[in-house]
Amino acid sequence: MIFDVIQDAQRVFHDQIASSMNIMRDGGSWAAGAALITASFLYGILHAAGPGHGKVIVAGYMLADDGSLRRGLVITGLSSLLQAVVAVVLVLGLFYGLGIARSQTELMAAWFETVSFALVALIGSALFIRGVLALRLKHGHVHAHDCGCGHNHGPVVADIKNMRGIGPTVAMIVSIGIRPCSGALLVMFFACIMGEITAGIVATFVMAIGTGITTGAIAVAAAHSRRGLLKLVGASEPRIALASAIAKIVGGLLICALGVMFAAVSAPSATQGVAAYQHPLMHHHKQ
Amino acid sequence: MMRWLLALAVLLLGAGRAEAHPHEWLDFKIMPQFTKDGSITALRETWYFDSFYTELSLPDFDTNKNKKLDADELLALARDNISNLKDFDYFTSVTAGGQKVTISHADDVTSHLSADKRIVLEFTVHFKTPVKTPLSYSIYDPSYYIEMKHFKEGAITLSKEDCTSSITRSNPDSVYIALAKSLDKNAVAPENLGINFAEKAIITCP
Repeated sequence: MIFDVIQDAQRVFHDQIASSMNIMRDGGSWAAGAALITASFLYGILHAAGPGHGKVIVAGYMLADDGSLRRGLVITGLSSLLQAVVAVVLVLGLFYGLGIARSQTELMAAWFETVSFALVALIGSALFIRGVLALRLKHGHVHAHDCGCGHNHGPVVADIKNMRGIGPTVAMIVSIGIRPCSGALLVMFFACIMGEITAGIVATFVMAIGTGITTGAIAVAAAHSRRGLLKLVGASEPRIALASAIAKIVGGLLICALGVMFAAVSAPSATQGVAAYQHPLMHHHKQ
Repeated sequence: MMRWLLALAVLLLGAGRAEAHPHEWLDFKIMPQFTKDGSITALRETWYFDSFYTELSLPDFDTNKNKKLDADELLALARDNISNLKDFDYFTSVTAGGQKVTISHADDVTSHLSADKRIVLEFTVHFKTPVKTPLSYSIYDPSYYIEMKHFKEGAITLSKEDCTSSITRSNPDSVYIALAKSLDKNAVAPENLGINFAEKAIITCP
C-alpha cells in the first residue's frame, strides 16, 4: 500500500538522521557523515513533494504569469536556500540565544508560516491587478485600432512584459523562503540537542538542495504546460495577450484567496501553540 | 487554464499543512499472562521508542549530565510515562465476547536501552477480571502523534502452546490518511484518529 511505503520512508529517514548524528557525537566517522548527507538529500527530495515548499504557488504563478524557465528555477532554487538559512538562524538563535526548546521554535515557525501565506496573498493580488491593467491596455488598443489610428500589435505585448521586473521575483522568493522547511527545523533542532551544529547546518543545506530539485522540476513542468496551453489558444499575439491577462486575473484571484485562507487557518494554531494538548508521553519534554 | 488552476487549487487544499501526523514511531511486543484454565489476566507490553524520542528525552532526564540515560534515569522516565498513560488505559484497548475489557492498572515497570540505543519500556497491563479467549486488542495512540505497531516478526509470545495469535494490519480509509496528513505538529487530532491506523491482534485458545 502506497500509504505504508510513504510512512515507512519517513520513518527510515528520521531514524537514519538520528542514528548517524548519534554516531558522529560518539567519536564520529566519515561513514556516518556520508549517511547523514545522503539521508538529508533524499529526505529533501521527497519532503518537498509534500506540502509547504511553494510548489503550488510557483506552479500557479508560472502558469498565470509569463514566467520564463530561468526565472522559475531562480525562484525555486533561491527560496529553497532561503528556507535553509531561516531554519538555521531560527533554531540557532532561539536555542542558543534564548535557550528556548523545540516547541517554541515550532511556534515561531508557525508565525513565519502565517507571514508567508500573507505574502502569497499579496503576490496574488499583484498578479490580479496586472491582469486587469493588461486587459485595459488591450481594450484601449483595440478601440484605437477601430478608429483607424494605425497602431500595430507589438507595443501591447511589450507593455505587458515591461511590467515584470525583479520585484515580483524577489517577492516570490521571500514568500516561500521565509517559511522554514519542517524537515530542516527537525534536523537543526536535533543537531542542537546533540551538540553537532556543523553537521546540522550541512544537513540542512543538503536538504535544501534536495527540495530545490523537486520544486525546480515542478516549475519546469509548469512552464512547459503554459507554452502548450498558449499554443492551443492560438499563436496570434493579441489572443496570447488576452489569454495571458485572463490567466493573471483568474490565477491572481485564486492565489490571493488561497493565501488569505491559509494565513487565516495557520494564525490561530500559531497563537495557541502547544499548550492546547499535552501528549501523555511528551509531558516531560521541554515546553 | 481555468481547469488547470482549479486542479491546482484542489491540490493545494488537499495538500494540507507543514507537518503531518505521526511524528514518532514505536514498535512493541506483547506477552499475554494466562491463568491455568487459559483465561488471560494481563498483557506484558514491551515498547521500543524510536531514536528521536530517545534523544529528545535526554535534556530532561539526563540528570547527571553524562549525555546518556542511565538505569535510574530511564526508570524515572518510565514511571513518569506510565503514570501519565493511566488516564489513557496505557494506549491499550481490549475486547472479548463483544465487550470492552476494563483495565485496572499497570505494574512491573522496567526500562533499558536496546542495542541500537532506543528506549525500551516494559510494563504489565492488568485486566479487572480474567478474560476468556478469543480476545482482541489494539495498542495505539488515539491522537496518532505516535504510530505504534507490532514488531514485524515475533511480536506476540504465547506461553500456552495450544493458543494462537493473528495480527491484522490497519487499512485506513483515504479520508483518515488525508486528515492525518493535514494535521501539523501542534494540532490536536480529532477524537480517536489513531484507531483508524491501529493494528488489531486476536488471541485464541481452545
